Amino acid sequence: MKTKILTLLIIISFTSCKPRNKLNSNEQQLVQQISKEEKEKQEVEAALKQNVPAIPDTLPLGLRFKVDRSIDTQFPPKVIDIANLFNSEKKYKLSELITEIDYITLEDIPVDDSYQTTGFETFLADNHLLIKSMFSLYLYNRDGRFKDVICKGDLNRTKEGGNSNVSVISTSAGTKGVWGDVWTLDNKLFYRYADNKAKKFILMSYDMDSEQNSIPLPNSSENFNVTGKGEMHASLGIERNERYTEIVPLSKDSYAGINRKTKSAKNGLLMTTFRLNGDTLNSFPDYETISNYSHSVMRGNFPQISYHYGNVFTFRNAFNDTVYRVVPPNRLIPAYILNMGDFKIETQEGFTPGQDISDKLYIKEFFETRKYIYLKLFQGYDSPKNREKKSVQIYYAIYEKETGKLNKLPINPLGYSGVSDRHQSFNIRKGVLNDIDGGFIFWPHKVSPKGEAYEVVLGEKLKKHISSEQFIKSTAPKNKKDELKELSEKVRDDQLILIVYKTH
Amino acid sequence: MFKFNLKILIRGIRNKPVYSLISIAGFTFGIAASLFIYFWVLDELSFEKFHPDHQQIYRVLTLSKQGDKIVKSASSYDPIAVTMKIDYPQIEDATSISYSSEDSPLKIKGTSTKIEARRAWIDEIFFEVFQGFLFLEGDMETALDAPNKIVLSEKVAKKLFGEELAIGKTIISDKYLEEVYQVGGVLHIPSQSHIDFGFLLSDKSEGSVGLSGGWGRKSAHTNSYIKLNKDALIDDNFREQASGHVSRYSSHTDKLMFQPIDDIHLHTDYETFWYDKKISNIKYVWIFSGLALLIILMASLNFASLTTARASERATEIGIRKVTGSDKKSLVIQFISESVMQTIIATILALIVVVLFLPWFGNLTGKEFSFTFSASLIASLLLITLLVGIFSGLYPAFYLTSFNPILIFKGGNPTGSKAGFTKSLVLVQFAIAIVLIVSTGTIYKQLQFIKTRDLGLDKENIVVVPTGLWYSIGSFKQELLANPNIVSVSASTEPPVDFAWLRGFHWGGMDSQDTIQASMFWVDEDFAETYNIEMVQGEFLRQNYSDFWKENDQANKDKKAGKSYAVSLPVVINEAFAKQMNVEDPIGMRLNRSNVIVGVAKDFHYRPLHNKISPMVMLNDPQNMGVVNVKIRPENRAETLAFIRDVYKKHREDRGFSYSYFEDELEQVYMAENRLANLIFKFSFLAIVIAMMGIFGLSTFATERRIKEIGIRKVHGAKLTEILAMLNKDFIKWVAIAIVVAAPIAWYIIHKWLENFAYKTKLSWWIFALAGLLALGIALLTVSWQSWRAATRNPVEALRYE
Repeated sequence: MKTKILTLLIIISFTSCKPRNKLNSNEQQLVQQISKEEKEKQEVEAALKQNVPAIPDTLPLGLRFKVDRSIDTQFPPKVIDIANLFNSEKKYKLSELITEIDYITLEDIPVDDSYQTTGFETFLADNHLLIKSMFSLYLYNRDGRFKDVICKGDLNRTKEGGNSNVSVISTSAGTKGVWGDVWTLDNKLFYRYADNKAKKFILMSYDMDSEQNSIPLPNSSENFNVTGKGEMHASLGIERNERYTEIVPLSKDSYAGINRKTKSAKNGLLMTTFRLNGDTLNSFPDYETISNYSHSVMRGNFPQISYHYGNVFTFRNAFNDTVYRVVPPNRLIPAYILNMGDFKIETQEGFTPGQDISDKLYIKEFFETRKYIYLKLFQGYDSPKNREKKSVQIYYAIYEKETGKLNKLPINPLGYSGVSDRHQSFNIRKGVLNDIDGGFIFWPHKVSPKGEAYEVVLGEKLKKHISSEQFIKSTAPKNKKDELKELSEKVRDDQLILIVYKTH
Repeated sequence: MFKFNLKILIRGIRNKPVYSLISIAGFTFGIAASLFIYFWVLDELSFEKFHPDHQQIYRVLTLSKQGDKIVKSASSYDPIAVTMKIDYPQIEDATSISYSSEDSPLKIKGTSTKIEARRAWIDEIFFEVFQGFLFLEGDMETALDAPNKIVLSEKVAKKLFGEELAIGKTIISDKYLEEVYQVGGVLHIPSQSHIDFGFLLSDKSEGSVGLSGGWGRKSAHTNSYIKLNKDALIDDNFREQASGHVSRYSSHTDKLMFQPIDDIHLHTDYETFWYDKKISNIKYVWIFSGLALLIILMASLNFASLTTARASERATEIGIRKVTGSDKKSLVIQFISESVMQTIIATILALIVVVLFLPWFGNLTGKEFSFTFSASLIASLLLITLLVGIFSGLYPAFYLTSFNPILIFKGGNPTGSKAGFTKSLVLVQFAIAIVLIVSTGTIYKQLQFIKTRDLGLDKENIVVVPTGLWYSIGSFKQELLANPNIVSVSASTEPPVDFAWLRGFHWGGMDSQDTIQASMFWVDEDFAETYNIEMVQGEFLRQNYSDFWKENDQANKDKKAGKSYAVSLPVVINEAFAKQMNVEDPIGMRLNRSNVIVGVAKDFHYRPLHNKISPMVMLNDPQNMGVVNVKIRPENRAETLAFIRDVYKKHREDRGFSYSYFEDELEQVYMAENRLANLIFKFSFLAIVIAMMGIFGLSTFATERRIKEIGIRKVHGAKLTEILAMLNKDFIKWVAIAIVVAAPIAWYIIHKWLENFAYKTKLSWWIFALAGLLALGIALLTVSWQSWRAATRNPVEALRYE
């Protein structure tokens, strides 16, 4: 009996003393970890502040850095699950995605009244806005005040026939000015200056905080006139075959030349990084090339994705599964893995005319903001003909960075009109209904390096929207709607308005 | 056998009613007191246990670098819950609750009476995790299934609707904008919940500002929780990943810790602020459990010592029973069963006392107790009763039955000089009593110290009126000052009771990373005058409000334009801050390259005395004022209060009026200590009474045992004083030893308790002396009364039968 009682007591004490499976952590160890990480962070920040070059000042002749495409173990790439796009649909309210919308009216460009007819592009920097019209480039403060002319393009207009109202702009002949996209890193602007007549193609940089008011012409040892402000760097080569499709700054002292996929798929060269003076730092090969290509033409409407996010250049080559952050001189850090699943298009089948890709998906737009990535995906090859036949479907999706979820928006994939994307976007806006102030339906057109979506619209467009049924019926707060209405009443039809969609 | 023992017991009670009363009353008090403490401890230990899966639920704590410190808190980033749930298969569910920083008005649609209640936002997972909240109306599935639905706490529902049903009714909150809600449920929040709110809204509700932040900033008002799977694999890998979770999503270096919700109430080990609710300390559970044990021990010792002391009186009985054939076993059983029967009687009486006085005890402790016979209570009571009964009967039983019957009948003293046991009981009891007297005395002294300490500011005649955020308070202040009974009016974020927003500050050439932590306190230019705060250097804040708003507008424009923006304001620092700066003249220096120091105020206590006066920065920003502090004259208080109310209503007709005295707010902060002192005082008193009863019983027997000796001594001419001294000597000796034993124990306990305070009273020698004297006095009085009675008796009565 005694033994039985003793055994029972032992069993009870053992079972009752079983340690609970607790999620506990070693506080002291975590404190040390924080101190260590904070120290490292401070060092990095201090280095960034002083703009410590990551690249040695002098490089031995012929030196190339070893390509590093390894992942950052601290921030492993996130998977964007496009393969399951059709399994998750979500209706967003704009207020879930955006916390505030700023409307900033822009002063007119004092030296140019043709930009509205010839068209313009905008680039939002941290503290500035740039408007590029043809080959001219204008600088604004972010509050809408016109600041400066960076470059006044020389269009080399020639009269056509006897009709004095028609002029033709020849880019191949004597055109001078800003060529292609412009890029910003903090307050530094990078652009390509082309002088077709002099056969010069120069990388320029300009400090946008600079208070110069006139257009000084930098002294040139090569004795040709540059009508753009700033500092001249590398000569980029004027001939098409010797040029990279895109020239993008990587840091304040380096840039990359990027080939379009149509070129890199053939020559196997994806990107080359350079010091600003043109010294080559590194070359990245393109591993997804085509071989035995017998056709004389290629389908080419598969865009590359390239943007700066937090001043880090981010890049995805067409058909590739990886979105990289590019860290000069030699690192491609995978940031996002695009899981295309059965929807993936191989390089060869993408380029080859006639190959059926009607059930495949490809990305046309990829806008990364602080919390979300906005993707526009196409099913079927996007051509005017296919659009007319409605054999192209357009899907809108939002990837939530915090949750890792990709949600398709409930938008009719055949609801587009017109023969091109541009045509469509100007007429029927698709995206997320604006419940913040009843403004435009939201879909990013452009995103600044800070991760803010923005667009520039004409006052006329806003007025038209205010009188639309969509605005009138909008359930956005009345005071916000009134503010927007008030703004539309104040602006002129031809006045530009910068709209910044902010996420805190 | 039982019948026989019962008869003997009843006879014993009849024959010696005083001694029986002493032993049974001692038990009754002991068990009643222990039961009260049991309920209190049980309540303390039952926090959060009403949730079915409480053992699986953890609150997420963050360790973050703040200035030069690493601070632990329950502050959370809004996305923590949702991302953790996705990232770790070990986590079954994760949820967050975000509290509003101030109360909001509520009224029933179509009425004008408003109440103020704290709002909180929750996500849709909340009730999946916290299933212990009981829906009195509505249910968890539908309570918040529409954006305009609201869940009221039982208290708020009662305030608004009385006994009527609330569900489906429309209520309005019109703090800034009019928000119309439909009641989706009424929830009972047990008092053992650290989660407390007035009403709940879904984070998807219209205009919700709760849980909508990102990784940018963590909030002290947001708490995140995770619920682990029942058999979750908790390995080092999971621990490491979960701790470093924030860094995966942001550039912050914060690390996460996970506090079981069961531990929140008693084991929260970081510096708490006003928004950390229902936080106590396991120390108090130990203190009170110890106290209960001591009381039971004393009551048991009393019983044991009294029974042993009565041994001589029952010697003849034992002798006769032994001679007539009783064996030792039956005698032992008799004594133990007598003892157990007495403890059973005492327990029944104690239960009656507890049932009668439980509401009073609830009032005293600020808790709600309900007396129900749970299985654990019955088992505990039974165990205590039997254990105490057996333990108390054990020694006398074996001791008495070991008497030699021959010696008894020869007329010898079978107890002989073996009174050592009873004397040592005196020692233990008095040692306990002295520890309690010292503890009570020091707690009282500390509380007096808190009450009388110069806080560095005036605390009398200041009325605090909560106003909510109010940007243009100027005309309200002016109208108040028109009343001659109002001396001064000042706005501040909160009254200076327990307020601290911590910010990092740097100055001069310091690196912006290398900051010191200081409390930020928003006050207006009249704050120093209202609270009579002295300036040691420079001047107090002055503000030109039109300039302020102009600068503020410009800053907003700059912000919109993406430029760096800052409103540069004058600030006043306290002496502690100036000391940290360690500069000759801080006046004119800029903090964080923006705000200019215009003055240094003498240190004053803006947090409870548990905390040291730490560096503080006062800033006059009209956008952060939440209360108005009105200094009034002591005369005509009622009229002055009515005047304040009327002026307030005129300006703020949309908000209800409420007020409190600053002194009461201060009192509120030390409520826990006051309650503790009150409890300890009462239980210590009880313990002392039990000790007195014990010594009274023992001295009675001691004198009775020596009654013949006293008679003989008197016959031989002994003086009264000599007899008194002889009888008292033994007890006094043991009490003196008790003082020596108790003093270091008391010192240690009280020293530990005082460690909770940054500002504390000194451990005074006189408290120890007083406790000793008191113990000695009590012993002397009790013993002397008995001795005097014995010494003044006629010796003939004692020697009559010799």
